[in-house]
Amino acid sequence: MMTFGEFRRSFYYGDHADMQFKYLARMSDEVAADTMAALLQQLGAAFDTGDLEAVRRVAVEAQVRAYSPPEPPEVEVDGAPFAPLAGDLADRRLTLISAGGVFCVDDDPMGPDGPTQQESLSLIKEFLRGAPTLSRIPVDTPAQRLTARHPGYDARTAQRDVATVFPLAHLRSLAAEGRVRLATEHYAFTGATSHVRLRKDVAPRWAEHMAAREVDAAFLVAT
Amino acid sequence: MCHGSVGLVARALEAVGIPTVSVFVRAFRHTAVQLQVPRVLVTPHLMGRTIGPVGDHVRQRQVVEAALRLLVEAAQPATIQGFVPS
Repeated sequence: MMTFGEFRRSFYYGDHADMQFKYLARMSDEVAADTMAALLQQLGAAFDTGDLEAVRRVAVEAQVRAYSPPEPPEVEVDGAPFAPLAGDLADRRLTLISAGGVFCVDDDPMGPDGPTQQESLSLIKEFLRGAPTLSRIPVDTPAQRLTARHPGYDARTAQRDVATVFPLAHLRSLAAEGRVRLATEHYAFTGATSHVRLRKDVAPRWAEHMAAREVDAAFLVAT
Repeated sequence: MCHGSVGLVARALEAVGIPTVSVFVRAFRHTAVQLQVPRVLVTPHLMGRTIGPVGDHVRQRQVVEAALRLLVEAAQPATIQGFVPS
């Protein structure tokens, strides 16, 4: 028989693996039980009202509670690099970079037979040991030509609406209004990756690449 | 994990002179502090929907515009700002 503790932990890459609720594994039995009861209570109300906002609020608060450290966070790095934005944003070449595992449907960074979103969950350890690949996405790429895969969050959301993590279409609208200027190339990678490799090698290399392409500013999206 | 990755990339870009703005969700606001990420807009959204809910183009556009304002207006390193829906 499965205990409640085993049940809540199974959402974290277990029998009930679900990236939307994997945070249940980080909670105590008591807090997880209260969270699930609150979600069900609001879901029951939503059957009548059709309003899911209260369900969403409970889920957001549960995520904040599960992931926030118990004590105020402390700085873990040396220094705080800061490059001032020179000039008018409308004259600077802006690039979009998402950690949401977005890529063009005909340019899968894991090859033409790359794993599905569900299959990627079983590869989480390989992702966390490896170096990320930078997917290049031309500025005029329509949303229908983009998809996403990521072993750390439920990328089916981005498959339904890529703007949730890769708002290139919104930036194009702003560019059409003359409010921003966009670079010709935009980027995405899978943020579930080796931080050691990213810090020591990959991120500095990407930064040099973008500087060489005369990128003036970057808009980053975490997932 | 992903928020930390974005923080590391943002720091690398700033180090070569490219100003950045990063969008985080509330659950990982602490990562912005730990990594001293240059400019961070924190949204009240679920993980995986950082810019806004599926199909909510009005909210998504508001978040994009707020992030761009922060990119322009932030005057010091490690500026963290909460997104306030209008």
